[in-house]
Amino acid sequence: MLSSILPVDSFSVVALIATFLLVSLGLHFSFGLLNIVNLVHGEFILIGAYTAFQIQDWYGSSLLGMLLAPVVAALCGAFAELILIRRLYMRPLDTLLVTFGLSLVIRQGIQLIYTANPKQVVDPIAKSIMFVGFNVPLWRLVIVVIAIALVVLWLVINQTALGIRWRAVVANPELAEAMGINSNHVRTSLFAAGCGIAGLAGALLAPINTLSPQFGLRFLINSFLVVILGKPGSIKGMLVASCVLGGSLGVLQFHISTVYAQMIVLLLAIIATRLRPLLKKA
Amino acid sequence: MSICLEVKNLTTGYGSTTIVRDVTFSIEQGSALCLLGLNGAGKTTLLKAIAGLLPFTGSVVLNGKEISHQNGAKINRAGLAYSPQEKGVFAGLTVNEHLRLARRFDENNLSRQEELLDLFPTLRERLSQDAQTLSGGQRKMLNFVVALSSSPSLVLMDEPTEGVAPVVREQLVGALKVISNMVSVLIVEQNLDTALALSNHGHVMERGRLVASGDINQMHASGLLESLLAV
Repeated sequence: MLSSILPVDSFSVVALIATFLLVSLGLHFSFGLLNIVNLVHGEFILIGAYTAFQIQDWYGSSLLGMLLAPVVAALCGAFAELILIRRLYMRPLDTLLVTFGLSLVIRQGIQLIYTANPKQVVDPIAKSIMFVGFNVPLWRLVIVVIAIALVVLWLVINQTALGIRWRAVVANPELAEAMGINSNHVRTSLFAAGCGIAGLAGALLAPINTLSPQFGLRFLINSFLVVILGKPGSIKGMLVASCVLGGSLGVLQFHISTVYAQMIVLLLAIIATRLRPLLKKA
Repeated sequence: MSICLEVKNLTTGYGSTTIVRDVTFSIEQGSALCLLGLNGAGKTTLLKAIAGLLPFTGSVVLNGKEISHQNGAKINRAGLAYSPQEKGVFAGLTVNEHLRLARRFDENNLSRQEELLDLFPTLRERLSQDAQTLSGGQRKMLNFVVALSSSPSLVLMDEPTEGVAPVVREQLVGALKVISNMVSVLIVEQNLDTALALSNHGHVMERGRLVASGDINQMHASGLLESLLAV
């Protein structure tokens, strides 16, 4: 059996790579494409997770909550873009300050409503299967499939009229405007889409994590690491960075404590970022 | 002849810096007008303001409709196209994607685009090429096709022959002559020979103001253009 040959639980590593990909994809929109230093990204993950929890609390269905989570997060994102962020494009330091402030407001707001006590979102499947000797929890398999599906969907959208308009505005908003594309609408839709994906990520990851107001923070650093290491704006780079960072963390966690594993991954990201221009030249 | 564009008392700039002051002029339907001036005279700033890419005070009327203070996208859809001086292509988009974008993904505009591509056959051979990797001249050609694909009534062209080889310049001037028979054109130009080849009527800008207007050939013959443009 494969599980007896490999030194680690390979499926857990794949699931961790998918998690890195899922939480980074939303940031790819706001930071990678729109150049917003988006420190509130973790809180949109949080909004998605708590939406799933709230719907589960009201209607007893975490699955329904997961379907609504991206919609709620996208609407909140659109609102934030219209009210705050729209005025701050090309002002990265101001954006950093505003998104940091907004993240505090959202986190504290959620703590006021739901308290700091841990909450639990029910795993809608709660079953596992044996696959080539590995125990594969079905919900983690769903996360892997959705992460891959979202990347494929993004690549397909890129070739459609909507995707071409999005790419045009990202490349040159003024020229896009002169060609009849409303750059403001496109930016709002891109930012909202990123927040929606972050919300979906939060809802999907909630059943396999303990939910608290700090939930989004644990994904923020890794999201930035993936997008920066993969080169902001590059989906291919983001895929590679997710595999490198998620894969390294997954393997290391089997041998050393999570804290040391995370430190090594951070170091790896710094070295890789430093070496990237040299590798490009070579 | 009816008026295509009427600009009245337009003042604009960047932030608190005023670049263009109290400019008034008009363009008749189907005519080509040249805007001449040295670097820094405010020609590009004026075009951007008319195209809705910069805020301004004053009024701009296109085909009898007030378009002042609308955004660039609305103004473009009202029939005004803008072909910028530089960075006129989107990085990462192919030539074909530029063409699809320019015809607004409407296949009804395809025949018009085909006619325009006949002026620049080299673009047909590069449909799948990233537009950013085109030569300077080819980018200008793509700018022309893109600006005209949506059948505008007026095109603003900012230094359409700047920085290209003499052979390409001749080709572009030839195309511009054809284009000026199709739509009204406002051309910003620093090169006097190109201006003389393209239009009879022009304005000269200096320090953000229109300082001379009239027949370009007459201004040239009297030596006025040479003195204003320090040729």
